[in-house]
Amino acid sequence: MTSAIAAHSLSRTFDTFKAVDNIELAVEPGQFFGFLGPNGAGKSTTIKMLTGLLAPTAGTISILGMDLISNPVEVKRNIGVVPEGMALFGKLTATEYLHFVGRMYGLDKQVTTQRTTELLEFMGLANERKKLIGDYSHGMGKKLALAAAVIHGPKVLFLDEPFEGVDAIAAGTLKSMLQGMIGRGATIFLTSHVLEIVERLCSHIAIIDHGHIVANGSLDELRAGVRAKLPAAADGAETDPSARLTLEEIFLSIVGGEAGSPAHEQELNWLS
Amino acid sequence: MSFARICGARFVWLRRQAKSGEVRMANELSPASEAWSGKQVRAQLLAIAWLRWRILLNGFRRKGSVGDVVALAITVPIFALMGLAVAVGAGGAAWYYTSSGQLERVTWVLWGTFALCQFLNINVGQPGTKFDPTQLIRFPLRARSYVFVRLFFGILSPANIMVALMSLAIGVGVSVALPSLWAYAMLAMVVFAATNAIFTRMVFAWVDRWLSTRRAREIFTAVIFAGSMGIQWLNVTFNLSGKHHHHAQKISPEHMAMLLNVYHQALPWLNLLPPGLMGNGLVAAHSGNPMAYVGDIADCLLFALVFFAIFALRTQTEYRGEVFSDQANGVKDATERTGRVNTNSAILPAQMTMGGTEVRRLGVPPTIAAVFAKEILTVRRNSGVFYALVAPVLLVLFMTMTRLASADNASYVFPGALAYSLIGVVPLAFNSFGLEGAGSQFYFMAPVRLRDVFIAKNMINILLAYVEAGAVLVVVTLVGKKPTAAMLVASILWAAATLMITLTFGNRRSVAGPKKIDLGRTSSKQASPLSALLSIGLVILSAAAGAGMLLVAQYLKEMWLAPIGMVGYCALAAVVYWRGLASIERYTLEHREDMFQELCKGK
Repeated sequence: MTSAIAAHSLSRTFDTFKAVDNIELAVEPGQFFGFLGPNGAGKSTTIKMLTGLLAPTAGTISILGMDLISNPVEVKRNIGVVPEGMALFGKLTATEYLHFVGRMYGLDKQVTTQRTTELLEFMGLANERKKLIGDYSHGMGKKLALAAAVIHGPKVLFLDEPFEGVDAIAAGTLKSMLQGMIGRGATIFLTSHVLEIVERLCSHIAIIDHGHIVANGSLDELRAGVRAKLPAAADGAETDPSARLTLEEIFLSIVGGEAGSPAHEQELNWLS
Repeated sequence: MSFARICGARFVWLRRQAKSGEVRMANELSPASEAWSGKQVRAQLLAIAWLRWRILLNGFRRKGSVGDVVALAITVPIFALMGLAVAVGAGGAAWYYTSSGQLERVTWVLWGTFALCQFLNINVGQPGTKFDPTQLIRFPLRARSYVFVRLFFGILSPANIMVALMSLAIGVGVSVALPSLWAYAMLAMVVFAATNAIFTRMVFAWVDRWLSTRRAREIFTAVIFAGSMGIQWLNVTFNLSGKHHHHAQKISPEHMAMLLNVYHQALPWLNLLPPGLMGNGLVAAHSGNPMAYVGDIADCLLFALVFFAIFALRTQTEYRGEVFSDQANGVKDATERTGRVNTNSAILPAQMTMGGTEVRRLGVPPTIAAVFAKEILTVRRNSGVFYALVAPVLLVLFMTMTRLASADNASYVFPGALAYSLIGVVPLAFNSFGLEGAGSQFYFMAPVRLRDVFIAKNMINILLAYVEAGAVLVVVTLVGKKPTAAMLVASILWAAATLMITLTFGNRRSVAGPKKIDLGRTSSKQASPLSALLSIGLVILSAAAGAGMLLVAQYLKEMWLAPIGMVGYCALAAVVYWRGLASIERYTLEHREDMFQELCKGK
């Protein structure tokens, strides 16, 4: 079966710095794929390369079986993107922006108008449709960016921190929408620092650190991998196999979390 | 309304796709295979044109934009008239050379047009737009459509419009002088203007690539600055404008012979370039050799083609996602910094950092000292401010070296030079928070009085102004004529009064009409159009008032009256400034939304 997203030997170098180093990725159709990593690990660089916003230094990318480099237009027709920083046009209203995006994706005026109305209502932005995007709150901007990413009905959706700054009610609605898309066969590639959301939504997860993929698989596979590496308890007792590791524990175990360590607390002991 | 209901009742298009088949539905994983139609491509291009139009129009949809429209309504016709005058001048020169039998010299006018185009593009750019075309690459836009968009939208810069007008005027000038050449002249000028515009797009597409890092931008700005100053030096030193003042240095016959020799050596090569080709083409057409004319036109078109190919090469690379910016390099920096944060330096009180220590010793409150220290750092890292300060001093130096020092009214050199130098400093006070952007919110969160923040920022403006005044005084004294004590005191007092008045207005405009300054854009202006107009207008008004006082004192032959008058002016300005400062806290709090709207919500 053709992977919905496939990256082979993908690298990106800035001067001498390797932001992404020879990674392999395969996301199967219908997967809700979580892509995690600490700050500066290479997540956004990877997502930019997968969506054609950044040229890879080396490697190949294939989306829905099409090579991104040789078929950029066809690939972009089939994907939706919520990029880092949202890339909205602050001097447009929401209606104007969605109209523009719809037209850029080849939708005719009637369809664009209809979907714009539906999406603005769905996202709770109908009353703000005449306001300039520059005056939107961060959360409203995120919702609009997501609306723009799905207006053409993409088969693959790339979301870079889509829930950042979005209120709980809206986040719940968005999650339901995304799950609905997965139910209809779409593929979603998500990066987020909110590990609870990733744990709840994603069936498969990859973790990138210092430009390398350090873990890749289903949540259960990651759990098993981490458990296998965990040292035995100090008293020699076996670890309770029924105790499920959370994604946060898995993540910290893999990338080496240090927050809250005694050394850190000692450094900031001037805090009251 | 529940999500399920929304999906069921209103979000029907996701399902309808599957039923109608008009658009491939989301659950089909084979990619859409319908060809991207010409109609869709045209719709994309129209959508981009519409986007630009809406961005321009919506740019006026904010509080205070009426003032900017008024400022533009005043300045645009002035610049348009200046542009028209230059175009008419070019046309007149072409007419003169043609009618006096020196058709080959039209080439000089064409070279002038070419040089002006590059100069204007560097200095003016594309004012009023914040549109970044690279944002379009995330859409399914064909590579050639992207190249077309980049070419077409960049081509409508004021410089290119200006060159088109000049080319038209040259064509008309030649046609009026030699009506038989009108068709040749007009075709040649159309080709010339198009080649020029494509050349500019090519250069700037590549310059943008080279200028994507801050270091490269600083070097480029330094080169442009040195070039501009060099031209000014040549102008005043050799009096290139043609007004042979007795103190301007004449070029010696040896130097002139050398220059002419270089010119004649370079001429055959210059004639191979578009301005030379078009000039030669006109000469060929006039001498009854239309085939040579056609050859020159073809050569010029070949240049245009090569320029376009180089432009397209760069733009297509951009389309593929090539990134060279500081932001991309920032990934590296951020990663390298991770885990190496020195918490000690992060929590140092601001007054202990550079600049603040000295101010603190002078008994200045710590918050003012902290903001002052931060402003010093900001000024140090803004090469634009540095050049704005240095350029007037250098120009004063050049002018003093030649014309002004020997003028009959040399006693006015220092006050005149001082007023001129203030024009570079004063606009900075009209957008005090522009460089801070969203960071300006800090002042509203921190336990500081906003009045103190303004005092610190004003202190920087005053410091810069008096450093500038000191430099001007040194230049005028050493190179020209030392001002009299009365003139010196009067000038210094006038500068103080002018600063206090402009700072009062500037503080308010910084809140009510701020402009976010993007250091990544070389053409980013330091203040909004209305603020820039106000700042210069106030300096001119104040200069008129000061000049009036000086003239009265001179008329009465009692120059000591001038400093006394200036003391009164200064006292009045101090009252205005003090009253302004007393109400600035309330004013800022009342207008903070206007401020944040521009500075903080950039998407």
